[in-house]
Amino acid sequence: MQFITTNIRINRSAHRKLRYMAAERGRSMAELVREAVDEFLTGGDMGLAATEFRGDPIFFALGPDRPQALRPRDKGWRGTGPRHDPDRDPARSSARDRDPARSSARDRDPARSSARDRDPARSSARDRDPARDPARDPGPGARAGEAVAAPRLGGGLL
Amino acid sequence: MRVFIDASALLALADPGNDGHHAAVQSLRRLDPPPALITTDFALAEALAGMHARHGRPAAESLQRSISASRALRVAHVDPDLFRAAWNLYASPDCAALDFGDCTSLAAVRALGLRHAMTFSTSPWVEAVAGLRRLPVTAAGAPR
Repeated sequence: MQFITTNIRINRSAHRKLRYMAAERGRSMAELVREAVDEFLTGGDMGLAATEFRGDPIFFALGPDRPQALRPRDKGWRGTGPRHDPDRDPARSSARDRDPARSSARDRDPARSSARDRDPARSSARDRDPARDPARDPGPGARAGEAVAAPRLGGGLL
Repeated sequence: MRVFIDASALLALADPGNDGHHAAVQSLRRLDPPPALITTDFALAEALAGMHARHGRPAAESLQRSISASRALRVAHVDPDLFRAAWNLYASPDCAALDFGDCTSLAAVRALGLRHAMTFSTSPWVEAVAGLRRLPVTAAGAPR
């Protein structure tokens, strides 16, 4: 930053106050004057009231402030810890799930699978028709919300 | 009181989904009297690009409208002198850890004689200015 030197006239009282403030803050008078000029040139202390400041648009560019738990990316999960899925909890899985030896004869023997599993021609209309989007129609076996696509990034923000 | 707002702080202030949003807003609203917020056109460009990349063009336009309408935020332009100062900082070994955007912020803060800067950047640019205080501060008063 380059500086130029100039003379300014200020009244005796302002000079005395400026000298006092500079001494009190351990700074030079010129530094205080430069700071004041910079404030003036950049809008400086705009003198906004607290209420006006709190309502300034810069705080609401993408919408109102919301508590952490209600943020859009948390949609569907409003807790503070990791989502708990009892189906994935090893402590709660059954002995049958943990022990391969206890699986059923049907699970182990491909020959015992149903004719429907083996024969594509016997698949249902639902399986063959791409227009029947499973996201829209999760089918009778799906749990509520299971087939719904994940929320998109920023969804609900705009 | 005047507070410099860098690109990371702008994004935190503007986006309720940003991890730093709450801390950024609260730390400014606590100040009495309300501070004047100063940023640079370079920081603004970086913030708009960041918003565009994260949330898309409509979000970036929304940020632009908010900045235009804001009375709390003022934009200092990086003039040729400031640009040269930032350029020299970027070339100096002391600023090897800073990117060029940080160097423009550093040069602006020095030129404007600011004492407070808000940033969520992990870059140590605030610490490169003697006496410059980083916002937000923790409850204990220590820099984050």
